[in-house]
Amino acid sequence: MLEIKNLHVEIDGKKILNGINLTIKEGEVHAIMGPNGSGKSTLANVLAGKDDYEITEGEILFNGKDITELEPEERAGEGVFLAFQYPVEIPGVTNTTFLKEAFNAQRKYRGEEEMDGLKFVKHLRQKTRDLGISEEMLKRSVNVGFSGGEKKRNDILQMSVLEPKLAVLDETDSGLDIDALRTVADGVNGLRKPDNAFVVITHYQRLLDYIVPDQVHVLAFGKIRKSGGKELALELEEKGYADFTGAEGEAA
Amino acid sequence: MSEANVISLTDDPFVSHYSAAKDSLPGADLGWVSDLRAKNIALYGQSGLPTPRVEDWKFTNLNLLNKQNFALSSAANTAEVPFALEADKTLRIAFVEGRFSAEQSSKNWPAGVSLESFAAALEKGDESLNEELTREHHKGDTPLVALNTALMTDGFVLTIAAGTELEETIEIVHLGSQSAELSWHSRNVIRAGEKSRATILERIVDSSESAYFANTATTVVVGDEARLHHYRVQAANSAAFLISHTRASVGKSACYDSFILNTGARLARNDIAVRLEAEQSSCHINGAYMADGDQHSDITTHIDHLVPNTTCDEVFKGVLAGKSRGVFQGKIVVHQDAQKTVGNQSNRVLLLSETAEVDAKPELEIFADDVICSHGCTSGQMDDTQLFYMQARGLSKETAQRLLVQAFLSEAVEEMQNEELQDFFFALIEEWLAQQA
Amino acid sequence: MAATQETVEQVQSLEQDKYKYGFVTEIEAESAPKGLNEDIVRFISAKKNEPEWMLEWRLKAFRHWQTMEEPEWSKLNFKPIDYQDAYYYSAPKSMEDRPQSLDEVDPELLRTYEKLGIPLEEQKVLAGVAVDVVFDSVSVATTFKEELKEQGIIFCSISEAIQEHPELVKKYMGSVVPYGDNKHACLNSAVFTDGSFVYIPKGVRCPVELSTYFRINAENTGQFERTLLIADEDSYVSYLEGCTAPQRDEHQLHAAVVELVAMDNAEIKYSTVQNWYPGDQDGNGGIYNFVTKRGICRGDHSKISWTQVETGSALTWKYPSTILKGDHSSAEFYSVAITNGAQQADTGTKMIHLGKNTRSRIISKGISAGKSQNTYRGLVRIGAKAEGARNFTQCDSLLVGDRCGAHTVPYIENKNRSARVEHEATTSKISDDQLFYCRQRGIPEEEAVGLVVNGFCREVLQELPMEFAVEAQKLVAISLEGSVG
Repeated sequence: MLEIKNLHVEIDGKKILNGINLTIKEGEVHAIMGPNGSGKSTLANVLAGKDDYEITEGEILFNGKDITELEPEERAGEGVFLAFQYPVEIPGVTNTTFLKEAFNAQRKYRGEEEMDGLKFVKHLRQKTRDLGISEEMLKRSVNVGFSGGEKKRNDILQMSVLEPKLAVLDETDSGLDIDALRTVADGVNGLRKPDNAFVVITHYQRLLDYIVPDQVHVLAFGKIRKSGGKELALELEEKGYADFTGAEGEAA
Repeated sequence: MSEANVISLTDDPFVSHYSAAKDSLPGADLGWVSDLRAKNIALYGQSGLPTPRVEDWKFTNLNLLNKQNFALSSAANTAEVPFALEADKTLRIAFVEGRFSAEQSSKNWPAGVSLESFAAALEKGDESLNEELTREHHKGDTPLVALNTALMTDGFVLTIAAGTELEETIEIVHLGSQSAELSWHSRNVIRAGEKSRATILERIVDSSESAYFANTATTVVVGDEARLHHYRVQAANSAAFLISHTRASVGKSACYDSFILNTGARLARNDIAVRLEAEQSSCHINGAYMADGDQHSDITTHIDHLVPNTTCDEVFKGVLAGKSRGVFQGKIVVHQDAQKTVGNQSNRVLLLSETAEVDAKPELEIFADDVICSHGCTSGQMDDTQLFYMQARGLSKETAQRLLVQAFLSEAVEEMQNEELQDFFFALIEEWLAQQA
Repeated sequence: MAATQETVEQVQSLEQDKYKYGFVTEIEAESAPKGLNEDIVRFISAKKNEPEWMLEWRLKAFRHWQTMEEPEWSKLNFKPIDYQDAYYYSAPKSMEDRPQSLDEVDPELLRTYEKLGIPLEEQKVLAGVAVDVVFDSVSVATTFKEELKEQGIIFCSISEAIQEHPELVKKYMGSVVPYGDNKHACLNSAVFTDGSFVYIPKGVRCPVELSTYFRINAENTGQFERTLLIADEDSYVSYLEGCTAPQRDEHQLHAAVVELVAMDNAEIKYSTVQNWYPGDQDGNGGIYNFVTKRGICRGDHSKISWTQVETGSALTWKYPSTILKGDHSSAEFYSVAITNGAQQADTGTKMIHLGKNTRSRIISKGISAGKSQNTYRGLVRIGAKAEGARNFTQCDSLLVGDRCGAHTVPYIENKNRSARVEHEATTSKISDDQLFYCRQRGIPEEEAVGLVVNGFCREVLQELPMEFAVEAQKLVAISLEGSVG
C-alpha cells in the first residue's frame, strides 16, 4: 500500500530525513519509534503533504501512485489520514459542519456522489455512538475548549467517519493519561480492517501495549536504524534509545 | 512661503518669543542651527498650537495654555534640586527652570558615559546633533516638536558608549518654575551605544506652586543589542503645563523599556513614539496615570513596526478622581513586510468620582498579515464585590479601596523590566493614594 | 474661499432661472438629465407628486448640501466625486403597467436573485416573507401588504407614505438623521427617490420578517434610498435588507439613509446583507456606498439590533449607530465586513449612551484579503447621566494574504463612573495550521479558507434570520474566492 523509497527531506536547508525506506502492506500496523528530534513528526507531515518541507530525493508511492506532488487535500482524497500530535482548533466551525465538508470533499475527489446533509448527520451519529463519544461534541467547534484527551478522541472520530486507507498517528499518546490512552487505542483497534493500514508514531512503548504492531522501526538521525517485531519495542523500553543517540554514524 | 506663514502668526506668543530671542539662543552663530530653527518656526507657524480639530488632539484642548502668557525663561536660577536616590549609587543631572545646573550635577562620570548640557553641545557646534534633531521621526512631527526645535535652549546630551554596562542609575531631576510664569523648551538626546546597558530615572518636581509651561522633546537612540531602561516620574505642581515628546529609535536585538508615572500638572501630555527599525528589536512602553481636581492627563503612544520580527508591549493603568480627565491614545502600526510582529496593548482605567472622565482611542493599523496584535481598553469603577469581600473581612472601606487601587496600579509597575526600581514607584503610588484619603 | 462660494451660487441661480420654464414642466420625462441643481430636486419632487412641505425640506437640504464639506476622516482613498456627472432620477420602463404578481416581474431580475441563492418565489413561499422589491428607484412589487394592514402595520414605499401618512413622515423623517448630519445624508435628503416606510402600531408583533431587496440597475444612476422605520410602544419588528448589483464599468454613487425609532419596550432588528458590485481587481467600476444608518431607542426598555454582512462595493462608508436615550434601553451591532481585491471598507458603529442602565454590545469581524483595506471605526460614548451603562466591544480582524490592511480605530469616551466599558481587539492572519488541518481532512484550500472564515464570523452570522444566514455563509465563501494560492 505504502512504499517510501530513499526519502530525503530538508526544512529551511536543514536535512531532517536522510534516506527513509519503508514498505507497508494492507492490514498491517507499523510502529515508528525514536528519540526526540529523530524526524518522526517530519515523516508524518511529509506523508500528509505539509508545506515547508522539501523532498530533495526519493519518492512516496501510495497504492503504486507517486503522491509527492499531490496537495494535502488530494492525498486525503487518496486515503491518507494524519492524526495530529496537536489537533488544531477552528473556532466557530462545528464538528458536524467540518466533517460533512471533509467527507463530501473526499467523495467528490474520488468521483463519488456527495451525501446529503440529513443522511450524513445520521451516519455521523452512528459513528459517534459506536465510539462511545457524546453527541454533544458534534455541536462544539472543532477542538475548541477540548481537553487533550478529547482532541485525540475527536481525531479518532474523524478517522472513523472518513475511513482512510492509511492512518498515520503522530504521537497520539502524548499528553494522555492511561484511561484516555485506552479509549484512543480501542478506537483504533476497532477500525482495523484487512484493507487498511496504520503507522503509529510514538516515543514510548506504552501505546503499543494496546495497539499491537506487526513491525517496529527505530528512527534516529533521519534514518531507520533498526526494524523488528513487536519485541523490539519492549527492548527499547528497557534499554532506551542510548544505542541510537550516540553519534550520527551507523548505530548498533 | 514659510516666511509669509511666520509673519501671519506674529501675534502668537511663541512666534514672538522666537523673533525676540533668536539671536541669543544657543548656537545662534552657527548656520545649520539657525537654519533649523527658522525652518521649524515656519513649520510651527503654519498651524500654531494644535486645536481639537486636529485628530491627534481631539481630546486634549490647549486653549487654556493659549490663554496664559508665559515669558521665555532667560536667566539661570540656583534653587536647590531635590534628588530621590542615594548619591553613592547614582549619577546626577540637575535642571532648574529648564537650565542645566552643573553645580548640582555629578562631576565625575565613569568611563563610557558622557554628559553634556544641550546648550553647551550646541554652542560647541556639535554637528552630530544635527542627525538626532532631524531624524526620520521628526518628518511631519507635531507643531510642538517644531516649536521646541525653534526655541530649544537647554537639556542634556547623554551618550553611553558601546559595550558600557552602567551599574549606577542616572537620576535626572527637572525642577520647575520658581516664581514668575515662565516657559522653556528643553531638548534632550539619549544615545545608548551598541550592547550598552543603562537605567535612567527622570523626575519632574516642583518646590513652588507657580504656573509654567515646559515643552520638552527627547530623542532616544538605542543601538544594536543595547538595553535602555528609561523611567520617568512627572509630579509637577497642579498649575503646570507639561508637554513632552519622546522619539525613540530601536536597533537590532535592542530593547527600549519605558515607564512613566504621571501624577502632576494642570495639563500633561506625554507623547511617546517608537520606531522599531531592525529585526528582533522590542519595546516596553508602560505607565500609570493618576489625576484629581481639574487635572488633565494625556498619554499618547505611537509604535511603528517597520521590519519583521519586532515586538511591543504596552500596559497603561489610569486612576481618575475629582473632575479630572484622562486621555489615552495608543497607535500600533505594522508596516508592510513587517511580518511576525507581536504587538499587545492595554489601557485600563478606574473612575473614582462621578465627575471624572476618560477618553481612549487605541488604534491598530496593520499592513502585514503574519502578525499577532491586540489591544484592550476598559473603564469603570471599582469592583463592588471585591470591595464588599474585603469589608466583610474587617477592612474599612477606605483601606479596601486604597488596597484595590494600589493593586490595580501595581500591575503596570510590575511591567518595568528593571525590577530594582519598582519599589520606588510603588512608594510613589502609595504616597499619592495617601494624599487622596 | 467665500468669494468662490458666492460665484458658484450666482452661477447656480442663473441656471435656475434658465431652467425655470425649461424641463421642469416636462414631468412626463422618465429620467432627469445628468447633473444636480435645484431644478433636479424640484423635478424629483414633482415626479412623485409630493406635497409642498416635502419639496421645501428637500430644497433646504440641497441648499445646505452645497455648503458642506466632504467627510475626509475615513481611511478611504478615492478620487473626488463629480456630482454633476451622475443621474439622480430614473424610473423603470414598465412603470405604467406595474406587475401584479411576481410572475410579471422581469425574469432577468429574478435570475439575479437566483444567483444569490434566494429565488424570490421560493423565499416568499418557504419563509412567508413579505417582499417589497425596489427596482431602480421605484417600487415595482409589494406583497402581503393587505395581510399586514389588518394588524395596522404600515409597510409601503416612502413615496406612498408621503402621500398616505404625511403626519407620520413629517413627525419622524429627519428626527434621527437630520438633513444636515453629513454631506452624504444631506444629498440623500435632497434627492432621495424611494425606499421603505414601516410603522408598527402599539402592542403589535410583526408576524413576518419584512424585507426589501435593493439592486442598482440603470447605468450611472446614483441610488438614494430612504428608509424610515417606527416601532411604537411594545411592538416588535425584524427587517431584512439585501442587495446585489450586476456588473458595471463606472463608479456608481449610493447614499442611503436609514432611520429607526423605537418607543417604550419596542424592539427593532435590522439585518443587512450587502453584496454590490465591488469593481474589478483594480477597483474600477465598483459601487461607492455611503450609508447613514441610525436608530434611536427613544423609549425605556427599547432595543435596536443591527446585523450586517458587508461583502460588496468598491467603497463602504457605513456606521449603523444607536442613540440609547430611553432608560434600560439596549443596542447591538453585529458586523462582518469582508474586503478583497481593491475594495476599501471603513465601517463600524456608534453607541451613544444617554439613558440610565443602557446596554450596548459590539461584535465586529473584519476580513481583509487581496490588496484591500478594511477599517473598523467605532465610537462608544457614555454621557454623564448614563448611570450604570455598559458596553462590551469585541473587534477581530483576520488577514488573508500579505498585501491587505486591517485597521481598528475605536473611540471610547466615558463620562460616568458607574459605567463599565470594555473593548478588546485582535488582529491575526488565517492560520497555516488550520488550513493544513482542513486540507489533511480532504477539504481543498479555497473551501478551507471559506470554512475557517465562516467559523471566525459565526458569532455574527448566527444573529441573522435563518434564510439570510445561509445566503451570508455562501457570500462569505464567494467573497474570498481567488484570495489564496
